[in-house]
Amino acid sequence: MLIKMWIPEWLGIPYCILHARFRNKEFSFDEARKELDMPPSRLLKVLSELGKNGFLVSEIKNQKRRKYMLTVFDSFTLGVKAGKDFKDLDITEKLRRAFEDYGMKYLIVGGSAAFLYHAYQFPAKHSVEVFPKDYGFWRSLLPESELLPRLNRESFEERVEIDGLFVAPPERIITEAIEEGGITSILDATSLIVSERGSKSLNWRRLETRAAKHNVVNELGAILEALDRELINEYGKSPVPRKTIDELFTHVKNIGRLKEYPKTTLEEDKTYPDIGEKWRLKLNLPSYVIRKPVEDIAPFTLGVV
Amino acid sequence: MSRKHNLKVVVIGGYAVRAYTKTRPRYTKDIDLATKNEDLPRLRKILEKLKYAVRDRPHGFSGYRKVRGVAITVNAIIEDVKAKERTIKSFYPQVGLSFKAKVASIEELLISKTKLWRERDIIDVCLLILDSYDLIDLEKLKQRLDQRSIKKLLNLIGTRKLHDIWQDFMRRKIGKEEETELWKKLNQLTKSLEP
Repeated sequence: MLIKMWIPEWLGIPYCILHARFRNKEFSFDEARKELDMPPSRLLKVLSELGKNGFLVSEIKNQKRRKYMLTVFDSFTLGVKAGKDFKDLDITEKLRRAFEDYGMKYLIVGGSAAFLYHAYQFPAKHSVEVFPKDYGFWRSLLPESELLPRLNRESFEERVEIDGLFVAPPERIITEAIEEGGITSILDATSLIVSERGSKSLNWRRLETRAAKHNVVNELGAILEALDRELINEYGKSPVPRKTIDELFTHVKNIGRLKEYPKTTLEEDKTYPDIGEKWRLKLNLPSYVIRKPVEDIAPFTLGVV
Repeated sequence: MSRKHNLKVVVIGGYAVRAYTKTRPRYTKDIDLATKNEDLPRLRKILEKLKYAVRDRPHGFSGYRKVRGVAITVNAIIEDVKAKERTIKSFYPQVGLSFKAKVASIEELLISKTKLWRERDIIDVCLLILDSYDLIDLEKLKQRLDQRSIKKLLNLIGTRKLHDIWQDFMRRKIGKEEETELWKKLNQLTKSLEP
């Protein structure tokens, strides 16, 4: 399905004026306002709709100032062509072909990336990071996907290739999922850690470093410890290295109030209280985010079935 | 399988909810089955014949097998669940696979899920009510559903907590119209269940 590529006049005219003035240069809200001469509320709507339609990307830069940039129009037209060429293909095949035929780079992230490792919890939608300059292309090709125009060279170079798809590395998926702190994202992290593909591709040292950088050492340590405990109880072995847990623990400072984790649970189900205490957390982890992957996925990874 | 072996096996869990709903939250891939106590050993034997490795669990057993490299887990529990024949659609629309099976009745699902009251179950209850309210047999539900749980859910409507859980499981915000419809149907349900 193609998006409504012909935007209405009230968007088209501001787009043309901004394009004539800025082309592929960044601009601020005030600069756009000066150029378009419209009230701030209307301008906000215009910019937001242009973004939804793939014509504009925005990024918060220094001192929390949002900067805008129009997407390269050529990339938009190329996306329309690719959309026609790949009309009958599913999303994953479109991603493969977009790279093969058009050289368009991307990175699958979030729950859909986690699923490619653990093959357990279905994603709700495909989350794909793309280069801001290519946003128009992807918006026309994958209108139903969650497109994040923030890919950079460094992130792309860290990619892992799974079944011909470019996927974020497991260490990144785990830390981001733990940082997000939702029930399904924590389940993505625990499932990935105990899955065959996940545990084989995971670099524990890199995970420690990333967790420290993202400030989720306590949360990751507690989750690994809970997983390790359940796996040892159930199967007498665990893929989680003890030295990783010990290394993470060296970062824990024994000060301040206990931090609530995760934030949104239905009822305060205080699980693993001793582990929570150790990692300075008020742990409200629903037990199934640990138990389900231990029971449903780990037997394959640990070779006990 | 159940027909061939004259075995009463009922699909419960995520796949059962899927048989009544259009909307797709983030389900897990394991298959949950319920069977009567006396049928459990036969179900176990059948799965073993199908090359599943079986491990005992407190409420039944789990079967594990890899099919073309893909790990499949079947969890069987002992429970006498009322069932209906329904079509279960694939979680991936592009696969287009669907099959008919004995599935827990919508009333059974609502009763068990409101009892469990985990985040995942609350989302399932919301989806069942939104998508299949007309299929609910209110008389059947009246006998066994703890009405307090529906009132509890009603109290969650409009709260940040429900919005966050919805966002987490559905990967999108709950729509205003959707939430209003849910509230109306829950109110209707509460009134219908009053003695």
